[in-house]
Amino acid sequence: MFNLDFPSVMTILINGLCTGGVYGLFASSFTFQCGSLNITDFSFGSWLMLAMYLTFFMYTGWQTGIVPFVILLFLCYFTISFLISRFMLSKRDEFTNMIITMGISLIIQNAATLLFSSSPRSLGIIERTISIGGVQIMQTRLIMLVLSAAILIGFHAFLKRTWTGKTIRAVIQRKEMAYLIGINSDRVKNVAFAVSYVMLSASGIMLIVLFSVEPTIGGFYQMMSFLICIIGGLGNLKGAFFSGLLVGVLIAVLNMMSSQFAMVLLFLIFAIILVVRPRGLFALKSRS
Amino acid sequence: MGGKAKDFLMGNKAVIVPLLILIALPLVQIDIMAFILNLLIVSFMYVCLAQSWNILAGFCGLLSMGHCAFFGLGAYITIMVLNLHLNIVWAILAAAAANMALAYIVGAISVRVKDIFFAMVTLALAQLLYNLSMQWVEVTRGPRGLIMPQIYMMDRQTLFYIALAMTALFVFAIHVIRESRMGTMFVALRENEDLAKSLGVNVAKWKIAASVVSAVMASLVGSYYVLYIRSVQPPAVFTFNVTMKIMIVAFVGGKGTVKGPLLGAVIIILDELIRGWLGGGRYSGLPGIIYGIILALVILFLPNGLISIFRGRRKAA
Repeated sequence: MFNLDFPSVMTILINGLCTGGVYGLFASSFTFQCGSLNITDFSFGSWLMLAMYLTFFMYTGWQTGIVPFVILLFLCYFTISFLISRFMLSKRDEFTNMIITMGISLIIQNAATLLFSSSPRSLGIIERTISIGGVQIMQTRLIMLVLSAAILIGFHAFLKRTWTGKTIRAVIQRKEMAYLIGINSDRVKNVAFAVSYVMLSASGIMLIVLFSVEPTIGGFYQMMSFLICIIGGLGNLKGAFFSGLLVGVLIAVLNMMSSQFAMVLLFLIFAIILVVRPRGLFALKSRS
Repeated sequence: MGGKAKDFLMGNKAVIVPLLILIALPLVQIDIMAFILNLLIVSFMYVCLAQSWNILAGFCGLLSMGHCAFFGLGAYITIMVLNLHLNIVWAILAAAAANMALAYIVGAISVRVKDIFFAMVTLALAQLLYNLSMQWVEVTRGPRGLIMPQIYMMDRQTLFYIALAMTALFVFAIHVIRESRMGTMFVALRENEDLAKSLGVNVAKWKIAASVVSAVMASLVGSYYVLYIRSVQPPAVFTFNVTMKIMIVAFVGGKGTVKGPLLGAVIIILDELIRGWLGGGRYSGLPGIIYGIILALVILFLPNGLISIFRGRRKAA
């Protein structure tokens, strides 16, 4: 196709797949909020953008070292989102939550414009490539894919194995029942929300390595996570990850075919998938 | 129709005085009048858009998150036809026709796709149009946008009266729709679609009707936007921020009510005032922050919108 030989097509596809891994990670975090906790979070993209900015400044200016920074960022995101969930989002209906998170999103986005200016910034990392039989694989992207998968597997294990994870699942399945057997349902929900924000900040750290950041970029990631999580079936973590990979490849292929109308085609495909399979490609059996 | 208008006015006597004040307002000659008129025009536009959104989301329960698509398509078609140097009426009709086609598709989709999934489809459609308007440079000139020919320019007073008339018409139309059989059907679909279906309501027909009415209203505002701003760029009409503003006006005023969006205009006036006061230069993000805080506070303490203040007092009395 288009005078491309096999290795270069494979190069594009594999790198698209690796980028898709990061999409899959933040979409999984979003699908967990939206599908399992029933909080449609419109500030998601803005928090992602903020994590990207903070990582950028850590790398270029603060010199704190990556490990303390990551731990600190996780702690901050955990605490802030716990407080937001506790004081603003819990015990309100879905529509109200939507508008509140929109307000939060506006605050973060404009604060970023005020503090960091609206010009785009990127780390400008030159990626090393591994060559296998003519197929060029970008090293950083491959690491991102592996890391995203590892984080998701870790999150899955957390939900399945640990006590907190089990209570979270109990609350998601039957909130009142969990309450009756002595689980503080509201607190568990807040913790679950906060954990999803830790995943979000992790994907923010990865995104800044690959892409540039500007205050309005949050809207794009918000949109992507919405669509990816719907295609993957709302509330389905695995589905979200795989449809993230799919979207990564799809974007790469569409860009190869026509870079002018790639995004138009992408959203057209989204719309068609949603109309043909309203519950997504990897829909869960039932959701009551 | 005349009788209905009279009943509506008599039922809402409180409206008459502000309406008369607004009609007389442009006659006052003071320095900041231009500023006040612009402020009112912008808030009228958002009230109209919120009313249009209200039909789909408030009455019918179809949460449209791509409402800017209708508005933007209206604006783009209008300006394209105007660039062919045709009459304004043709431009407005063409825009409305294009929007009807789009709304028919959206309505047909809404029969099949429900709740949050419908919201996502509309979001995808709006994003599709945004990217199309950005990338199809041959037709839309991409990010530079299109400019209206000089000959269609109007002075501010005329524009103000058009906006006022449009708002009045929309509010009245919504009132009529709400009282009519159509409005009852819409609310029935929102409250319990399965029950409505079992009683023999043609769900597809009424959903498509709702989205067509809503889209035509948004399209008219889009045409007006072109006449007022005289140019159109993709980020100004097709981004999620526009939809968000529309939803905010409806929510802050009171979703699913006829008078709610009118009250919601307060938030737009506030936004424009803060931006006029602090905007530009070093503090370019500050207005947005204040706006966001006010929005969050209003929703936290008045989840049913500003209209609940009045409702609450009436109940207490």
